[in-house]
Amino acid sequence: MSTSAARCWWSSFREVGSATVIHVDLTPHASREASSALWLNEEERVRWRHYPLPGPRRRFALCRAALRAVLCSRIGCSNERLSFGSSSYGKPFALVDEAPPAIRFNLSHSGKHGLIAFAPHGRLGVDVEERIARRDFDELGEAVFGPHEQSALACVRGCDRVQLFFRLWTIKEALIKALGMGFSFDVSRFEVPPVLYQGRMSIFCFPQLPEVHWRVEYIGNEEFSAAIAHELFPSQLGDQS
Amino acid sequence: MASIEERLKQLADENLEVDGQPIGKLLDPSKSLFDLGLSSLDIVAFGKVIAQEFNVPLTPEKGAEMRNIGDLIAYLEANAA
Repeated sequence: MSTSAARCWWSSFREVGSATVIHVDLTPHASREASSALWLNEEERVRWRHYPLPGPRRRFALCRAALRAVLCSRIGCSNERLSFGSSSYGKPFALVDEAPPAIRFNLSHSGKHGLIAFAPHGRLGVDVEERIARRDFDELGEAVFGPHEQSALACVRGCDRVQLFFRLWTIKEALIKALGMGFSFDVSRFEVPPVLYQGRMSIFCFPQLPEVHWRVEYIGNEEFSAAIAHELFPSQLGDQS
Repeated sequence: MASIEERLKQLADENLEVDGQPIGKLLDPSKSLFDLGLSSLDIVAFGKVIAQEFNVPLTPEKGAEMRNIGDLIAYLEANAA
């Protein structure tokens, strides 16, 4: 399968520890959308057609085709051999000839931006959000942030508040996605430490799961907020910088 | 009195949009809110609106148990005040 007709709409974004993050351009583009649909298998085409609105349909196809292209390249398999399963909480994983390959991934998209993170091992979560000022920041903050996070938000105004809100949220959602339990895990029961939302990289443990360590990094830029969380094995704990 | 599904559609039109479009008329019991292109943040926020409107406890964890809008309607029919 070739993407030459529309050229690649994905590109390398960041190396984060042992993970690689790819950026996917999700701006409307007719030939890319047509090309992406050719990458999908029958099950994915059913899902693609199931989206009632063109924007979500486009984002799904462009991201899934980019995911397929990069996975095939990294694994060294044909597109036809690649399929996807999902956990009981809905987290997708790759299958090659019905067996899981030695690669983990996670995907997120918001507006014109998609991010796909890959790593050879360890649970992985990525989140991207275009920053949109919302009327309901206060109510949302009560639902998803703990007391220290709410206090930090209460201390800032205007653009700084929007920035901090999405910085906190993307870090939280990346962690939740890495854990793989979705919102069945109460997001207000853990807090993002200041070192993480003020700086760039830190090692995090959920209070409920202190034995599991996550390398967490904020990877946003001027166009979007984004974060990645990647499970560390004990042997990797001394290597982080 | 409007049915729960009709009230949900009205609430969705008043509170949610995808790419600038209201989505009330697209609420289909067989679909999930993710199928409509909403983000996790949109869904958490809409859950707060629904909890207030129907006077029911509806945490993000409760919402995560629901597979689609049909499950949400059934929950509201069983629990709404």
